[in-house]
Amino acid sequence: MSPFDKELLEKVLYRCSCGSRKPISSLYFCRHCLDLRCGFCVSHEVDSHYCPNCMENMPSAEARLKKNRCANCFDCPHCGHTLSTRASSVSVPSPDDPTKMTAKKVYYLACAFCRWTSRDIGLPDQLVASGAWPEQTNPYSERISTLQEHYRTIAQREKMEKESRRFLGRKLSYLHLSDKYGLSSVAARKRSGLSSLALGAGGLTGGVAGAGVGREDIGRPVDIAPATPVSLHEINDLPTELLTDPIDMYNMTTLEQRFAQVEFQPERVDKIYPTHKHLMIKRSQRCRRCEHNLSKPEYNPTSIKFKIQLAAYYHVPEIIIFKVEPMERGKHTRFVIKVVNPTNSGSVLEVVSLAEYQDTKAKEDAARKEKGEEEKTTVSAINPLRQPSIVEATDQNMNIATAEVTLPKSKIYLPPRDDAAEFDEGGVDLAGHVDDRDVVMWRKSNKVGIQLKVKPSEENVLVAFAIQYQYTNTIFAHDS
Amino acid sequence: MSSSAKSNIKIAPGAIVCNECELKGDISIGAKTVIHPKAKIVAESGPIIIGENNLIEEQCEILNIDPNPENSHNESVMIIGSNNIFEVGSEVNCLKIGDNNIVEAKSFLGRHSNLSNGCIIGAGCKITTEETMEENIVVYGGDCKRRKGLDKPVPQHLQIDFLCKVLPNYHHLKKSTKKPTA
Repeated sequence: MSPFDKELLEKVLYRCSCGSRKPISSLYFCRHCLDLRCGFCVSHEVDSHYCPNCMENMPSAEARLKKNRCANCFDCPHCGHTLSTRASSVSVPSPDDPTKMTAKKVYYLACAFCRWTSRDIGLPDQLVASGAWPEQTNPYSERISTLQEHYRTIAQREKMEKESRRFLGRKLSYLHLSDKYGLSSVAARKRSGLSSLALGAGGLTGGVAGAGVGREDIGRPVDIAPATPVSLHEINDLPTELLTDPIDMYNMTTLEQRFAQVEFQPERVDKIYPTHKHLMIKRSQRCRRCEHNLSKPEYNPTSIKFKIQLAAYYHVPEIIIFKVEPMERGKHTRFVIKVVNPTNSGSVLEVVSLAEYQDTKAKEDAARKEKGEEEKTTVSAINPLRQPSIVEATDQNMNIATAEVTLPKSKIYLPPRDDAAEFDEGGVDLAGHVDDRDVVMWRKSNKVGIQLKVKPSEENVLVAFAIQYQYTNTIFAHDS
Repeated sequence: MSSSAKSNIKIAPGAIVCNECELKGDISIGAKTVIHPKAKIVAESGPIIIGENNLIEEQCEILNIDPNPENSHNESVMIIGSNNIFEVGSEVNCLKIGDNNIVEAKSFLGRHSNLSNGCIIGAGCKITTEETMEENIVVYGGDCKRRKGLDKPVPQHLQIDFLCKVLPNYHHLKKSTKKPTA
């Protein structure tokens, strides 16, 4: 059973601030709000684009231009695997001496998984290893670009009309309006007697666009003819040979293969073309409440490290079920949990029942209201005008436990993580705290084994409790 | 189980058969065939005839074993053609294999399937259907998807020549039995 199996991960679940239960590996810890955040309490943003094959970074503007595809890498049109370039030697008559044959390297694309090659569709072998592969041209691309131009001009015109209409209601005062609409130049031209510059529809009400230099042509509509319709009678029915010919499944493309090339959707396997590889993104995550970054990867695509990595695993004590005695219904059974302190500073752990936890929370809220402080309005770290928010699920966690648990009363000291401790033979330094022998079973550098008792009443034994520990904020988060 | 008590192995001159491979039963190996150490060829319920220019890699098992002991009265001959490649860890039980096939690593061929020419059985694929594969079929993927290739795969002459030169330097070889000239 691998340690990443879902069963093992779900043994110990933590309650995130939104109410959902997640294993510690799926949670983040916000240093500013001092709270756990799961995937839903975090906003995911695109950090950078890169190609998964050649690991080439691409700025997002360039990526959008290339339709989020890599320029050099191809995907097999048959199975989707990455294509590799292979070389083979071909003897050609050398240019100096027509009778002598010299070997020249020619390149073709091949898939290592399904053994498809570029020769299968008849693409000739290229003399250059990369960059020379012919692309299929979309027969409708011209029509599409004229349509786009036409609609773009209409959209721009509409936008400017809308902006001009905003000012129609008020008294037009040329002094207040900025030169955004080129009004001062219009007024100046009128005064000097020069003819006003040509405009599209809209005239001079509010002195709309067209007056500025370079904006004249926006107003002019692009003439475009609608597409010529094809009469229904001209379209042929499906050929009846489809009903009588034997099916040739090996030459038909599957739907996935067809949709990989949306513009052409070929029906036969010898017409599928290699597609450029899709780019992947690196994402960064932000706490939704305070908008601080919780996870930010490195820019380099080959690096797996993080610039900021506030995973709960590195900041919150991890609880692992260590040993459970054989359980019997109704009888008190002892079990040991292992608590690991991942931080570099010591902490004091107290295990608290859920009822006490709810009480403490209620008291805290009441005390805050009494003092007259309102709910701390959280300020976004990036934009003070933004209203950050997290949706909280209704809290069902308080009632899900199926077994009673007896919790230790004493506080337990958790030593800090010390990487040099494994070479240091010696006892664990408790910094003056005394251990309760009934509670603390064993210690090993920053790990403690704590004994608890459970009284199972059902098949599926589920125990719930809260822990209170001290967190030392090593890097001071500056409050605005 | 009627298996021949003594092994009758005929190795043509030019074949490179390493000493560490396991050969049992009635086997005849053609010229320029390379059999790596730790390969296993067991001809229990009939003879195995292997052609020329084949490449049988490590941990490969070519077995002519009949699972039903009652059929042991009929001897089934297993014929493997030439220019085939049996990659590491493959297991071949089928009776007829043609030429120019590639059986990739850790694949499995059941007793009732047969390969014609130019087939490629992808890595890890298990073929147990009762059929004779068409020519130039490529089987790939975890769910054994199929594809028709345009032509047969390229024969690996370079690799076989290299192995013929290098293997004798590092392994003991089985001696070739002189073939009686017809």
